[in-house]
Amino acid sequence: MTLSLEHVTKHYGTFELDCSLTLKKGQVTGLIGANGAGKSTTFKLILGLIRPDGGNIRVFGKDGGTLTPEEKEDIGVVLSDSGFSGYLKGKDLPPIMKGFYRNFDRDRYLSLCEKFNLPQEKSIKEFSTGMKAKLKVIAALSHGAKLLILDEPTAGLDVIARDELLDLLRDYMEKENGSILISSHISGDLEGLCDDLYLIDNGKIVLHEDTDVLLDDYAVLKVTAEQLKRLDGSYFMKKKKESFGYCCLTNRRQFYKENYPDLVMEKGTIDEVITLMVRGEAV
Amino acid sequence: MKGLLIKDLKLMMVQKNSIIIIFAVSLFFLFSGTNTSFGATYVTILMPLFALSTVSYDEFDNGMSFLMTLPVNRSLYVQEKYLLGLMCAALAGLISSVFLFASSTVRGGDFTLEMFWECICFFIMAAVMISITLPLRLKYGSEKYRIAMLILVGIAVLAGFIVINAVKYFRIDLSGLLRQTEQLFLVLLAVTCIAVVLISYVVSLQIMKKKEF
Repeated sequence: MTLSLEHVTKHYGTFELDCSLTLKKGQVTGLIGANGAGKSTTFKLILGLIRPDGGNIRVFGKDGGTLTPEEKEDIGVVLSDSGFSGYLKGKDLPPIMKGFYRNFDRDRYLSLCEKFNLPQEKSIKEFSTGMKAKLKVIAALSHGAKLLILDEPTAGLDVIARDELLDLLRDYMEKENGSILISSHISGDLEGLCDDLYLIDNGKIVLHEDTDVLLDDYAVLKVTAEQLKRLDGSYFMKKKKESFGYCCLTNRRQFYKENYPDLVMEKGTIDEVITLMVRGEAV
Repeated sequence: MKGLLIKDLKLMMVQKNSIIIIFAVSLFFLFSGTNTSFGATYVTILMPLFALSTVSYDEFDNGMSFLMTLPVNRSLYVQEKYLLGLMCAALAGLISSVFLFASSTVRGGDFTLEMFWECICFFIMAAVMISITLPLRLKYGSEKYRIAMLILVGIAVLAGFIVINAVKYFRIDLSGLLRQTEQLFLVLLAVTCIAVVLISYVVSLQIMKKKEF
């Protein structure tokens, strides 16, 4: 197991995080949820930036808070709201990274910077949001990390740059056989990349599912109030009132397809699953 | 540690124009003969401040969070700041000693041992200043730190005023006393300085360990 969290808790006023998740070697795990759901807090706990109030965090089999600088060389990190000091220039980073990481690959770093048109003479604070995002990912990928922890790595990127960066991550998984824990509010990024997904809401993990299962077996039924009364609701996970009646989330798409062929049914997408799991009411 | 030092030297280069001006002002006082001691003190005291200003650059735009995900820990971060500050003070002290030697040679005077001890004293002053400034800087952040420093300077001035008046009131010959115990005074100063730096380091470490990013 590359990473595991067992009932890790953290309190901020009325907000309470209680998170359990695992990340296996060679897997890409996504953490999804609305703003303020607890994604960044979870990442900060894993990285030892904040202290948990309870629970266990294990990274490479060790207590997350006790990793040595040498062990941290195996982790590549992208944080959504933090990066290298904006006063540094692009060209300052290779000697700095070489000082931090024994396996820093300067040539790869520079070739990726060139590929993504990142200027070396400009201060980072003068970079556009997209350029900063690219720089963070390139830096995380340039020192042979065994584990990538990426909090919103594609935020602020246009579609093309996003695809290019996601290709880099796929390439990393093929060549380095590492593990990735990633969060993103762009569900498309996660659908095409992650092996499994955790949905977090109000500090709690409310769903954990393989991405393939979620995309193949989950569905949203759009039914009127009359239809709802006649349906077998045994496999409904959540329902939500709409102008036409109800949206019902199920993880047994095939069951309803076979038994109620006339129903309006849409395949589950991550966005719909999030919306219904968070906003929907229990059945 | 190496990565942190390289990062901070790069960040200090952002202020290279200010550093050049400080050395120019110092050179002016050293070679004009108006106030050579001031020239040496000026650069030795101010250089470590540039080193400590890297904390502000680290904190810029929430940068500390990311910094702490790199292969460093809180202890290493604190150690590096003290090392950098003391290295800057030592380097500035050394350079000002060389300048002092050069200026006294140019002006036909002798570079006395007393001048060298003066430079050592300036280094000790710089080390004490780092020891006071760094924990405050880490504890209060760049904004509140200024207020904390103002209060501290106020307390120092008040303490100085009380000591001077006490010396006058009790008619103590402080200069004479210092002249008689010059070597002992220097040893005591050095020991006190080491103690202050160590206490300051432990305090800074505790502050950093309690911090959440």
